[in-house]
Amino acid sequence: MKVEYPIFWNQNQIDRIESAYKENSLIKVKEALEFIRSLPAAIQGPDINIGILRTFTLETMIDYLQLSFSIIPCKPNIFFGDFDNIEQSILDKDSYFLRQKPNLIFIIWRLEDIHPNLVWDIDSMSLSQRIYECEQLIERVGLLISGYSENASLFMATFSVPSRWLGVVHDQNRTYGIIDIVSRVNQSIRSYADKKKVKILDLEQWLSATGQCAIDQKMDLFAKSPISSKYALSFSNFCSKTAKPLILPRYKVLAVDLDNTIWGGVVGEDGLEDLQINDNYPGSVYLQIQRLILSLKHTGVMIVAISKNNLSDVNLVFEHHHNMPLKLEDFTSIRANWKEKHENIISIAKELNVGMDSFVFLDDQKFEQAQVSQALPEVRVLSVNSDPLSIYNSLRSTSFFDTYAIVEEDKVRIRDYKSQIDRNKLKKKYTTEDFLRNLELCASIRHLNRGMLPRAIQLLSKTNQFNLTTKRHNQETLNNMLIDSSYILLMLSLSDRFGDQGEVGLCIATIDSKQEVSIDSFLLSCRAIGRGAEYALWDALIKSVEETSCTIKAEYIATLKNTVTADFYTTVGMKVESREGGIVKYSMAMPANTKTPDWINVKT
Amino acid sequence: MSNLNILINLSSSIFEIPVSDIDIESSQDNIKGWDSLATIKLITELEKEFSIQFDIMEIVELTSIGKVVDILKNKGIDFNDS
Repeated sequence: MKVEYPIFWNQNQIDRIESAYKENSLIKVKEALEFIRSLPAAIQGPDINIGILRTFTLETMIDYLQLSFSIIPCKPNIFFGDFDNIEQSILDKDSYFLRQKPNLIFIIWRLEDIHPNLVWDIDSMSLSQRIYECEQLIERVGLLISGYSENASLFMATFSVPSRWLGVVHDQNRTYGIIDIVSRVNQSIRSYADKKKVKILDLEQWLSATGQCAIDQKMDLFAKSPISSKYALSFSNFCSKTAKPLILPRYKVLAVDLDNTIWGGVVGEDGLEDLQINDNYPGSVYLQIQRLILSLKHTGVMIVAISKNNLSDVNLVFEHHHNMPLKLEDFTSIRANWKEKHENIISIAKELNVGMDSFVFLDDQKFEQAQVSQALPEVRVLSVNSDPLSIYNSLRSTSFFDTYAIVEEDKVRIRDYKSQIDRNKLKKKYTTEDFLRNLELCASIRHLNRGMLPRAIQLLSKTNQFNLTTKRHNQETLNNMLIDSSYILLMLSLSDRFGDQGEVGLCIATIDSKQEVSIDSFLLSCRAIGRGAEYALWDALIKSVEETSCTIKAEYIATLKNTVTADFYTTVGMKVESREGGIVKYSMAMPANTKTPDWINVKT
Repeated sequence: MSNLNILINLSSSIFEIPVSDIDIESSQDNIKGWDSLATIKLITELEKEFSIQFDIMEIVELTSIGKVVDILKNKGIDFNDS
C-alpha cells in the first residue's frame, strides 16, 4: 500500500509510522498513533470531527481510521451514530450525533442491512414488486439528501452486491434483480454528488479493487463486523483519501522532465527518430504517461516542462513527433536549459505567481529528485525509478491532484495551518554545492584497455552535448590508438550514493615529438553533466602529462548540440589562440592548477 | 518474543491496560476493557498474528487469557517456553 505522508514530516517521523502499514497490526497502528500525537501540534494538522453513521460494526476499526486520517494530516475526532439510525441522526437538528458537531459525516450502509427482505426474498417477488422496492430505496436516498441541511460534507457510500448474489446467473440476467437494483440505487446516489455537500464514498469500487477477501464472513455473522482486519487499513485509507481534498488543497502544477520521463530516450543523444513514443513497448508506456498528463491538464492542473536540453531540440521533438498526445501548447511554461532544476522551478513559480507548495515534480532520475527535494522541501517529488511503468503508476495513483469536481469547491480546510510551522529551517540557504557534497560523488579514471573499447566507441558515437570535438572514431581507429604509445586514452567512471553511473567520460590526447599535448576528444555522457566530473577527467589528463610536457593544446568544434561545453576550456584556464568558422583553438603552458571540485573523491 | 508475550502485548494494546496487569487468570470478568468490541479485535488480531482461523465454537470460548492459550495450543501454537 503506497502511502503519501504530509510534506512537513521528516523521514524519521515517517519511518516510525511506516511500520504500522508494513505490519498491518493493531499494536503497530496504536504505536504509530501515539507517536503522531506526540508530534508538535502544528504539524498534526487541523482538528476535524468525523461522524460515522453505519449499518454494521465499524468501531473495531477506529484506530485504523484514526491513523489514516492523521496522515492527511489532521487531528481526527471520530465518533459513531447509533446503529441503523441514519435519518434520525442527521435530519433532527438536536440529535446527539449532530450535537457533536461533525465536520465530515460518513454514511456507510449495506443493502443486506437496510433491506434484508429484498436481499433474501427477491426470487419470490414479481417484477412490479421489485421495481417498487427499488424505487423505495431511491426515494429513501432522495429524502435523506433533500432533508439534510447541515454544513458538514456528507459522504454517501455506494452499495455493493451482497455476497449471496455473486455469480448467480439468473440475477445477472434480469432487470430489477439485486445486481440491477444495486446499480440503479448507486446511480441515484451518484446523481447527488456535489449537490448539498454530498460527496461519494465509492465502497463498491473499493470492494471490487480488493475483492471478496476483504470481507470476513465469520465476523460478519458473529458480530456484524464484515470488513476483514487484514483490510482494515486499506478500508480506512480509502475513506481518508476520499475526504482528503476537503482538508488539503490539491497541487496546482505538475513539473515534468522530458527525456526518459514523457518519452523514451534522450533527444540530444539519441536524436529525433529514435525517441520511444509509439505503440511498441516501452514507447507505449510513454504514450500512456503523456495521455495521463494531458488528462490532468484537463482537470485544471498546470503542466510545465523542466528539461536539461537545448530549447531548439525540445521544439524539434514536438514538431517531428506531431502525433504525441502532448503538444507544446499544453505546457503552461517550458524551461529547456542547463540550469539546475530547482532554479527553474523557482523561476516558473515567479512567472505563474504560485508558491513552491503548489508543485509536484516528476523526473526519472533519482539524482534530480533528490536535488529538488533537498533544495525545495515544499515541492512534492514523486518517487519513481527509470522504469516508465513506475512513472506511469506513480502518476496514476497519486492523490496530490485529487479533487471532487473540476471547479473550485468549498473547503473546510483550516487555513494557514502550515504558516504555524517554523519555516526558517526550510528557508535555509541551500546551494547546488551543498547538494553535490551530499551526493558522495566518487570518480575513478583509468587508462583505456581493450575491455573498455565497446563503451568507448559507444560514447564517441552517441555523445553530442558534452563533446568538445565530436569526433566519431570507429573501432579500427581506436584499436590503433590503443597500441600507439603517443596516445593517452582515459576513461572516467562515476558513482554516487544513489548508485553507479558506470563509464561516463572519455579523453583522447596525443603527445608529439616536441612533447606538446593535443587533445583529440574530450566528452562526458549527458547523464553525468552538472556534477563537475569533467574536471576530474581534466586533472587526470594533466597529471599524466605534466612531467613530460610543457604545452597543451585543444580545440572546441561547435555543433548544433554542444553549446553547453563552449566555455569548458576557458574554465580550466586555457587561453584562446584563434577563432575560425566555429572552431576555437586553445593552448596553455604547464604547470596547471587542479580543477576537481572538492565534492568529488577521485580514485586513480 | 515468546508467543505468550505476543498474546499479552496484544491484549494490553486492545484492553488498554498495562502489560503487568495481564496474566493467565485475566478474563472478561476481571478486565474492564474486555467488552464485546475488544473480543472482536482480539479474535481478528490473533488470527492475523498467528495466521490461524478460529471457528465459531472456539470464538465463544475466548473468555479468558488461559482459555485463549488453550485454544491456541490446540491449533499448534507453541506455548511451552513460557
